[in-house]
Amino acid sequence: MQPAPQTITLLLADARLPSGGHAQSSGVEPALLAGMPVADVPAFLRARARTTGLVDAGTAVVARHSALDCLPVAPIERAWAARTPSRAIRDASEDLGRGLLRLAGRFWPDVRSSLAGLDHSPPRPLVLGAIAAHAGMDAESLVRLTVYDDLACAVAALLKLEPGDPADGVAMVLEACSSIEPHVAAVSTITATHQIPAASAPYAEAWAEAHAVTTRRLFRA
Amino acid sequence: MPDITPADRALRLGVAGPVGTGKSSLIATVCRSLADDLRLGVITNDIYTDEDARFLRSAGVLEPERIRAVETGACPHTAIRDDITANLLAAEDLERDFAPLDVVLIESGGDNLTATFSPALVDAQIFVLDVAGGGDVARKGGPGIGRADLLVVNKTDLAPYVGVDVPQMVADASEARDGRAVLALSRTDAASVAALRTWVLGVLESHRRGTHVPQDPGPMAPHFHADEEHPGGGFVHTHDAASEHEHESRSADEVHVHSPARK
Repeated sequence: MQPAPQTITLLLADARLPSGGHAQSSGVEPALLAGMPVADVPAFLRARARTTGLVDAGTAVVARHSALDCLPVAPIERAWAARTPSRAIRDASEDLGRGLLRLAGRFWPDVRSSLAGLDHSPPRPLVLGAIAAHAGMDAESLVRLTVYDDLACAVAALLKLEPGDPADGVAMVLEACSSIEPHVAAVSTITATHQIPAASAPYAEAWAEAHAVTTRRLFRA
Repeated sequence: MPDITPADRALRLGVAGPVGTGKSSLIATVCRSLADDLRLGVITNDIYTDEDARFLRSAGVLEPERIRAVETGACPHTAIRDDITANLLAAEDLERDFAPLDVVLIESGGDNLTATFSPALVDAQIFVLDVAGGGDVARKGGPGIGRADLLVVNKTDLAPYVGVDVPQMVADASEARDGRAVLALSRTDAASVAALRTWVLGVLESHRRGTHVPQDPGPMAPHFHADEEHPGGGFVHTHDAASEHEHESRSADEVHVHSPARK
């Protein structure tokens, strides 16, 4: 008996999944350390969803498509890296991808073969895409999962960094997730790397680079 | 990545215990006493990143590259028990980059008495208390105190200044641990440092023979119940029906570094 694809979606969105996510802040700690006011966090999350979030979601959708058609993954990784210019953000994503792959390889051994041919750890969206292919997840669920997981991670970290009402964090996640709904249908139907959204977030990228060389931080990125 | 059996790779030795009990100092002591004999690596889990790693690098006991820090997202407990991913990846990287290593020491971020390592992360673990934390802490029990492979009562040189009776604290600890190894340690006491060295070498030996079985100290370990009508003010007990079995499996690598007289 295989678990239902919906169950896998829930599993991957669960913060308790032991794949290393608890040490990440999805750019929130870098932003706050750089002086961004806490009041700007909701806007930061909307921007994150529209930029990094949709780049990752589009990458995951193409990775899912390639895994289903047994196509090579290296060109997708290059397309993602070109849209993710910060080395620190790529490193964080590769850490997350490696942790996720370590776990997923145990349940879907084919995920590893779908991601073969890279000379380093696959980033998070590639691993999510390959899992989606082998676990039977549809592309729209994959888009929402990719964005939601990143934002939920940000808000969990925010509660450690700044005092606040945890319910306010839930409201921020739901608001930022809703803000990308108009794009979900389009992003979930792409099949080629040139169709992956290419929206960058220069401030967040600079903050991530500065954060990577500080010696006092709670989160990896 | 092909799975290798634990005996084929470095011994992964966890060091846990509350904040300020001397975990980093103990690791520096272990490195100092074994660096000439063994190939070592260290991973630190700081609360507020890489303070402990920098302390160890500045202590000059190992090449700086062999000491790495992982972030814990403000949850040192989670990083060594519930989601060990970052530590596992760091251990694999260290073992790959400096292959072959004999021992990888993993230092927990200072947490509370319930923070212990997952047996999926470490092969053996040391729990560190210190005399300055109070002579009664050992009696309070908890998973680390009750069932870590070794309990260290650290900073014994400070005992006269904080009014702690070290033999009594060690006796309390031994009772809470059902006789498992307890070591009264001071980095200024050469005999105690030699005993720590002997213990690490003994665990490494049984790890290599494949006879060492990783223990899981938590979450239901022997603990102390206050009871005014009971002699000694209370009693130690356990809820775990499997504990008898674990006691037997432990004997293969047991090294008695200290055998205090029972009360």
